[in-house]
Amino acid sequence: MSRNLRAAVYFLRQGLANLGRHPLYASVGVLTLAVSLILVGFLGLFMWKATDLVDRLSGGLQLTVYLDPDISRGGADELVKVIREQWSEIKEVTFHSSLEDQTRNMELLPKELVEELDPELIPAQPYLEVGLDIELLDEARATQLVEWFGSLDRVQGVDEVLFGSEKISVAFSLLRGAQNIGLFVSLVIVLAALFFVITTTRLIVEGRKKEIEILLLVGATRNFIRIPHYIEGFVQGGLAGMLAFLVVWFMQRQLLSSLRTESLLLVPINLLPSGMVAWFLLGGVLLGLLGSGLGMVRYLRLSR
Amino acid sequence: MGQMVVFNDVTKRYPGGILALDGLSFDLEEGEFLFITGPSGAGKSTIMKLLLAMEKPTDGQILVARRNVRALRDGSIPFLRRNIGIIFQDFRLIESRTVFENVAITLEVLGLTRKEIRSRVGQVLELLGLAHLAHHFPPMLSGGEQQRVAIARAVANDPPLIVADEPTGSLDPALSVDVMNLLTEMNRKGVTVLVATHDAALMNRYRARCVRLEKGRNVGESITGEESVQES
Repeated sequence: MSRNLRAAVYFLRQGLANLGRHPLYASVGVLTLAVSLILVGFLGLFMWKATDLVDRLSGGLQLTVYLDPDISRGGADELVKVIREQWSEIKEVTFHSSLEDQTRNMELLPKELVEELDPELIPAQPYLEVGLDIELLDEARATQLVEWFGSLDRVQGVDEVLFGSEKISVAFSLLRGAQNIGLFVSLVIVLAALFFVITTTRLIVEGRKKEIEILLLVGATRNFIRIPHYIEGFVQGGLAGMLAFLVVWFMQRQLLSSLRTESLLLVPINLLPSGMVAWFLLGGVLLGLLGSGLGMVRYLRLSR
Repeated sequence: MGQMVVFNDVTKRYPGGILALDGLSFDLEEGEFLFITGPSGAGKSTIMKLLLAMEKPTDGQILVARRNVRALRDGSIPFLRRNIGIIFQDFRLIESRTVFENVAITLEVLGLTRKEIRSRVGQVLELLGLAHLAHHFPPMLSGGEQQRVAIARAVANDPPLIVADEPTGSLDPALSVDVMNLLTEMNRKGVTVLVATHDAALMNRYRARCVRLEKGRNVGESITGEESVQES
């Protein structure tokens, strides 16, 4: 076995052995990392769900442009062309004839009333359905769009424009709110998690100060001390990642099960997107390495 | 024979102005056994710290195995320490590691194979009468046994120099003699030994050169044990 390979095997063995030698420190380390990951994990889920909610809300945004009853199909097509050319953010524009409008209105009325009512009395006029893609809009552009469509009723052939400007505002407020709150909460949680991890690692390193001092006195190089410690951090991080995933998964299961029992709610909710386990593991390993690195660097810098 | 340790006009002043060593000079020949003695605060422990490059001298020159300790870069310090077996009054054993593992660390830092380590640690534990305690943890051992483990660790990699700072300070008289006998035994095998102690009675059991310190200065040298019985 080459010297480097032998050293690698030795470091790996020591890293793993250290976990067994210091079960209390190892458990505290894993729990600290797991709690931090659970906090960050829930934050991630919150952000993801908030974005999803805004997407869903904004996905349904649409404008209705009522046209003059006597507008020709050619006139309507011309108007569709103008709208499309003016607004690249518009997903689709669909023309509906008076007859389609009448049918839609009849469907909205109670069946008994429709049977007794003269169809001529049911209002009907051609209209355009304009679907918006809010992901392509920024707030300034959305304001321009609202103003432009607001002035559209002065154009020949257009009777009235109905649009959910409040809905657009709500969507943007939600998005802005989610972004601001999310940013603030993320910052606080990530900082708290880092503080938590670094403080715990420092306490652990402090507890093992004597061991490190002895290793330095018998001629151990800094890498000889550091590398097994990084391996410990790596393994602890991995274990913490798995633990955090299991806790979040279990909590989701309990939550869904209680929703089903108490509210008879049968909705396919999945708070844990696929690949989440990999993120938890990666996060755990990175936090573990960061914690062990920062804790050790400070101590070794002060020792000779 | 050359000089193993040279202290040439060494001064050590700690932050706050405390003068631990004041122009101290002495030397230690290869294969020699030297006592350093003096009252508490005379500078014995500071000498140990300087020898191991745990501290840098404020002034003067220190040579250990012909290396200038003051000029050593941080990265070279571990290689200096691998030439020095260290024994402390408080043993400094790693409590979470077995006796075998505590002794093995001096060989692990050298990058020896597991087979070599097993063989060498086995020999040393046998030599020091610790073989039956190999898988015990330090807190399970008596003070004398713990100091024997510390000596085993100090000699495991065959260092040319052993330094011991009050090695019998925590032991009763019988165990102290036992530990000193082990050190003189190592010295007979050719290892240079430097022992810092304030136990005059114990020193006088052995014939060796002795440097007396007071307030960080060398106030005289003598030969111990000239009028006393040699160790049995």
